[in-house]
Amino acid sequence: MHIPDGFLNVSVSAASGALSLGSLAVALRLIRKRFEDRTIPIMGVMAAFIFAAQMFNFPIAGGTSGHLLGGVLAAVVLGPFAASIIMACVLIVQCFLFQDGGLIALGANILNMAIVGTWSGWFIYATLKKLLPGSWGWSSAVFVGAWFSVVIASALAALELATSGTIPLERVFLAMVGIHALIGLAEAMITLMVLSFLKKVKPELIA
Amino acid sequence: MKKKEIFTALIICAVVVALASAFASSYPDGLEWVAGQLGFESLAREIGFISTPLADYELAGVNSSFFAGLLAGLLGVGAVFGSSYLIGWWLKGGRAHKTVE
Repeated sequence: MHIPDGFLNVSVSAASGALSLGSLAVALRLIRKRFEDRTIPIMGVMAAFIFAAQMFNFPIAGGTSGHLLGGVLAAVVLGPFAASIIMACVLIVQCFLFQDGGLIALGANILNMAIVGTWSGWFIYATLKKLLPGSWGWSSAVFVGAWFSVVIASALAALELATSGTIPLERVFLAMVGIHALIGLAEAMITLMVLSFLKKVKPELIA
Repeated sequence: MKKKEIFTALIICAVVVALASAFASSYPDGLEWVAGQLGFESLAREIGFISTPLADYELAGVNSSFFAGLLAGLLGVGAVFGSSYLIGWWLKGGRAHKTVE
């Protein structure tokens, strides 16, 4: 879902860039308050895994592919704020070294996937986890949170495309949300698989 | 995390990169597909920077596309691990820490 340059106009790029910078600054302040040494290597390893997993495009339907975003995966282990920091880190490396996602669109990509997708997905996960008991409840919370993180990020991307005047909202919104509802199922399955594995081999990682 | 665990985790990342280099689908992703369907794909352009040696996840100058992808991916894993680790270290106030739990 990395938006290339040319799809967003200057004001949408600038506004989403400013929102991203502000949100990342808030996230950094909040995690600094109670940061533990043990988080440092987990941040590095989780970011490395998300980068690697994002390279793995799998076919979805009708000649389309998707890959893991990983926002909820990171947020369940690290909390939403540290997760958005490493997601931004992945997106920045992808933009500058791999030319994946536009330079001017970087702020929008961070906003969609690292901030709004990650935080909203985590919020849904955390809420469902409280409401639903047991390990079945936890699994459902992970699955639904991960699915929504992708779908919400794609809806925001559609809004940005429409606001930029690239394509009318009524044409782009359902198309983006529809295809990402499918990609989100894979996101949900992979996120649940990886987190269940972590829960087995290193349960202290998952609160 | 112990050093051994970090090492194991990075090996898993390398395996994922290798699998991605061999098997990743080259179909358009969700956004590219929508852009193609709705006809605004051609608006995409590269602004103001020269092609990097890692563009499109293939290390320039490597003939085999598997190895070009593998090497680019491993460099990316290193870059992302290193920068995230540094951010964590900076958040902690730059003090050295021990990797035992």
